[in-house]
Amino acid sequence: MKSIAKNALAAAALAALPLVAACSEGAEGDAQTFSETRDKSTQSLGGALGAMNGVSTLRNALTETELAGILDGPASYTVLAPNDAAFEKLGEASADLSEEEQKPILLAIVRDHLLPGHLTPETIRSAIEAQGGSVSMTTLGEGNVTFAMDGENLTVSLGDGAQARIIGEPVASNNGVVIPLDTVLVPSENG
Amino acid sequence: MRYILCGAAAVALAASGAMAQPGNGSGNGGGGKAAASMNKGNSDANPGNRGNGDAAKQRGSDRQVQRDRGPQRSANRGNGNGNGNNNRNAIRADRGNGNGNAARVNRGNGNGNGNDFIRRGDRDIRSVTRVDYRDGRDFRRIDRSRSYIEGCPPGLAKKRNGCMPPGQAKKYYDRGLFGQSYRPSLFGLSNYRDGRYAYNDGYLLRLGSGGGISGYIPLLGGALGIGNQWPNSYDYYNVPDYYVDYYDLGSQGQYRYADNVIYRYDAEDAAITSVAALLTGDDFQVGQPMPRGYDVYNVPYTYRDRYYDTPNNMYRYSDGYVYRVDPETRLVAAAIELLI
Repeated sequence: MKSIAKNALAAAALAALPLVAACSEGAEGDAQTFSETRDKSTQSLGGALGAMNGVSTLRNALTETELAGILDGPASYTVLAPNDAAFEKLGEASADLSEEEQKPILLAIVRDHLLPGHLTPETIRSAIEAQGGSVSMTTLGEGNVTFAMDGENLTVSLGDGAQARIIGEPVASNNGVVIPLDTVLVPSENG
Repeated sequence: MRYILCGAAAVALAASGAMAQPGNGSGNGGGGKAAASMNKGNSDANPGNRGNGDAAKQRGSDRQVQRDRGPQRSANRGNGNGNGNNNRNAIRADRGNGNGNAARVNRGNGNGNGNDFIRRGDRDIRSVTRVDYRDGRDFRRIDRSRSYIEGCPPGLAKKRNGCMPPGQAKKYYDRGLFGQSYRPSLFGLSNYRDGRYAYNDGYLLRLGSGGGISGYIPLLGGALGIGNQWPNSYDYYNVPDYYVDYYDLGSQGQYRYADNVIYRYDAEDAAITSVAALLTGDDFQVGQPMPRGYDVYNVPYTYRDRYYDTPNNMYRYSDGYVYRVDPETRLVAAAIELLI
């Protein structure tokens, strides 16, 4: 019963997410480079994602795939968050992904955008500098992502699949970080 | 970034507690004695290093699992006494040992003295570690040996030569929306052998050499969606008590673990109620090299002012643990439990 009550609360919180987002629509999302991570340690990851502009498609995906609950849980995750324009770039496939039958596929893609723990672009950049090149992080999905610098831009790629730029304003919550991306990290054809 | 790192305002996750620092154990019997001792000190034993410890001092502790209930508040520095009993102080012992004793013992031994960390002699550490830590790995080891479920997935008819062959079945997919081959790893499934797979209606289908369906794997978001009944023949396992605590899973019947996912489960309705946690499944073993894919510092927010990289130690988080790693050798030196 306890868990059911919790789920009900989580569902209610999720239902409120778009409203929260709608209230603060407008400011960010168009930025072509990323700015310093904003510290919102009074918020959970779910709250931070809910308040972020321009990522409603991902929010919906998290809700549809029933993963949103973990964003308010005790464990820490970093969400690589493709913005709405990134999903639009997928064309028809983006709409197809929202079909019920495709939910496991959508979920697989979302998992490729989840990293264990609390990573900020600043620590990623420091690691790149320390390592003198690209750095690798495991995901909660198929494999690892690779972060690298491309001039002043911080990029992330998934296997030999898509590459994205980190843009906008990352937000650090008390159980993880949301890092906006300009591209969806679509898995490669053959893993 | 700096203000994040320096943000001392700890979130309510953490109770004030002393550093769960490994050590070479006062009362250390030199590897043969069973002596255990309580650590009455705390991280201030090494204040200059903010409790990160020193690699040289931590030799011999490579099998330790430590517990950390959160960062120590500055107000507590310098003391080692005072809070008294705490039920979560104790490191578990003797769980699942050769006697079949699966009970958790020593919880709440009331020896607090303001510290959440218990330092024990080498043998005791090994014993505790072997049981607790191995248990923590056992559920993964068992999970790794799983295979697809043989037979026809629900919804596909069984024919004389097995399941209805692909093509005659209802709509199924050889390739994903983006041209990906369907493979277990695409869905975060690392416990299955390569082979030819297809997708249909929430299941990954294993195709036999003749192209027929020889078995299936239920998928998260599909057959393992919220509200669904647990698929028959899909094995699930208990996780260590530490995970039950860490992920707040409730009692044994209230969750199910399979394929690096922990589900909340309603036994009454026999249904999945939510996803409690996704795990990487990465295998950190003390004394072994750190798995690949942890190049970036990723310790959770609440613990970043305690476990931060230094020339002597680096810290990485994975699946509920913070691991201390030697930056030079990349060997895992200790596993630290983070109790909330």
